[in-house]
Amino acid sequence: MAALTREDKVRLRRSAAYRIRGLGRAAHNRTADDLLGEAQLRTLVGAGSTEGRHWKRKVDFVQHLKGAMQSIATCWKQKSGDKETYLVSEVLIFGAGGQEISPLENVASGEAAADQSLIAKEEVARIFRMFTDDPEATQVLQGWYDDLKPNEIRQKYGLDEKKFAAAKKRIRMKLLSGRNGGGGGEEHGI
Amino acid sequence: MAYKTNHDGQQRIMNHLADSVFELSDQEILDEVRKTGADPQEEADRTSFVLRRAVDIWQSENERLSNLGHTINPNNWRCIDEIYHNYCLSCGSPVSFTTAAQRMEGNALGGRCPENGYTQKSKASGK
Repeated sequence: MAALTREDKVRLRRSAAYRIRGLGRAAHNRTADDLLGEAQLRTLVGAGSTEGRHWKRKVDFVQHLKGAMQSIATCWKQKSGDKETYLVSEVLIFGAGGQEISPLENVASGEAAADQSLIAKEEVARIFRMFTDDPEATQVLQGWYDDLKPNEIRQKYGLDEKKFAAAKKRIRMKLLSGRNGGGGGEEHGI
Repeated sequence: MAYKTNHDGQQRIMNHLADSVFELSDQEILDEVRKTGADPQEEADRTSFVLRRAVDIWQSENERLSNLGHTINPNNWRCIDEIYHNYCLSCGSPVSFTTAAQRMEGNALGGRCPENGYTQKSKASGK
């Protein structure tokens, strides 16, 4: 831990804040501090064990904590998701012919689930609306939304490395700036 | 067959953002933080505090167990459904630790280790 630089610590903190924000309601009021602390605690418990968050000393500690936070956030999301139900229209399976098939055809959706889904969708829409005057940032967001790899995003939208990096920077700054309707980072621990 | 869950769109975007900060050079991350009106040193200090606090909690909980005379093998922690389980090597009493509660629980915390009680008393009186 003593080997972490100031910049490492800032990266970890910012990364934690984005992951918490990505959880939406599944965060259950947890903050970036909670995610960082949880990653550290799991590392300590698993230090002597071969189970859990075992830190392989060959791996850089920053990379280890980054991976731990990713894993914990995914776990929190899944646990939260286990308790939620979905609207039929929200979970679509695309068949070989491109037709949409609903795996929840016979499952009734509750009013509460509809509310949660609408909130999640509205948050994504809100993020996109923040960049309506920035087509390159919108393209990067769309690429991330579609879970494309960086080279796939650049190729699909014809962005060179410089434009891609600049768009990412604008997105990061706007989403955590606390200005321009970005929501700021305070609620997420920044 | 590909699944599409709009519910996770927000998480996908934020995960990519979370990863992107590790691509930045030292100077770039400092510049970005300053431009958002934050103080990098404050953020770094806060991170240090959180990481240190986790270490303190873990040490304190281990001391609490040790003060009761219980001995555990740190290699024996087993994680089941996000709860870590272990046992006293002397008396076999179970102990568990949940990171969410940041606390050890279980029979071992309910009293002194019957097997190590004498040793602890002797150590205490020998001081």
